[in-house]
Amino acid sequence: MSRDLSDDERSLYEWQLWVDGFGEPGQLRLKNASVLVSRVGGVGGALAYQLAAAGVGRLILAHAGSLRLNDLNRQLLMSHAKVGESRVLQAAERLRAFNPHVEVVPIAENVSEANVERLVRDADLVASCAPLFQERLLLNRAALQQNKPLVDCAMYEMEAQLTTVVPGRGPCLACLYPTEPAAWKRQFPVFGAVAGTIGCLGAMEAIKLLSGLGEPLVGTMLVCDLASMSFRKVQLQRKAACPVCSSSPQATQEPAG
Amino acid sequence: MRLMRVTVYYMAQIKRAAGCSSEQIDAPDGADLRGVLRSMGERHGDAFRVVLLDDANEPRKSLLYFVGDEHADPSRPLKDGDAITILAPMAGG
Repeated sequence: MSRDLSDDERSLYEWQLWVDGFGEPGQLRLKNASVLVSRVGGVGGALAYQLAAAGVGRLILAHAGSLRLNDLNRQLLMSHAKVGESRVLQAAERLRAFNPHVEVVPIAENVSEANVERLVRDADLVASCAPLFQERLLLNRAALQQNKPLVDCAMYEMEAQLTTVVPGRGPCLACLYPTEPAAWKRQFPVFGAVAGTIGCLGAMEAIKLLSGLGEPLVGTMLVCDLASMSFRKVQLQRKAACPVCSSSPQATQEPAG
Repeated sequence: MRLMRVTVYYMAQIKRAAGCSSEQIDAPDGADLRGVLRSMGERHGDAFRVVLLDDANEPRKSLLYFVGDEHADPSRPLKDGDAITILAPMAGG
């Protein structure tokens, strides 16, 4: 565990060290934190980029597969010249070049039943940015079991959603989606700027949770319509019969419905 | 029969199915959310109805329903002037 910032780090993070209530104690919390980012595509790539910029000490990137040309309207950590090459290795290379103080751990796997407990165990916070509900719901379950916060980012066309699950405080993703929505498809219409917007907002949520700043979106969903540039927060209800969070070790809060 | 008027806002995929981002619905005074959703299913035809309602004519559990800014169960009673938002699922990528 680091107890100090180097002179180089003080200079690198100077603008955010000026943020009221953050300072060196906040920066050290980020430096000592480890975040799992589930997929580093349009959303997770932007989120990871911002967490690297902010100085989160360790980023675990989980993403299988190789870059396709049609990923490049939104996956900012990738390179046009590297179509066909590993996404996660490109992301790791870019993040290391951007901030060599950050330890980047690339894992060329998507979250699955087989690896989710191990991946979450190595992190202090989980960023859920995958296009498949199966992966998001697995992360939700493992994060609850291991008492770790989860930031969930989602998008479609010109809309986006963001919410945070903190064990024992409010609903989890399984309260909202008890089963995988049957009609959801892995590929869908979206602009890269929508992915980047919700990725950056998710990064801010992670920075807040790790450093203790602000109020996270616990029990609340931020709903963004970028067509009209309207942003609103809606209140979410925990389900009494939720098979995931009602049996988690932190299920102490009285559910609302 | 007395009627109340509610406004329904569609988000994500269901907006495309509805063909509009919002609309006003007249419903019997005292109707609950489930009743309004079923009447909307009839109003827009089969392509929309299968997105909104399941085979048992129940509101789909994969959609999120809000009255005002509060997450609402289909049994939630409605009142004149309520704003209903239906959020279709979305994910990262």
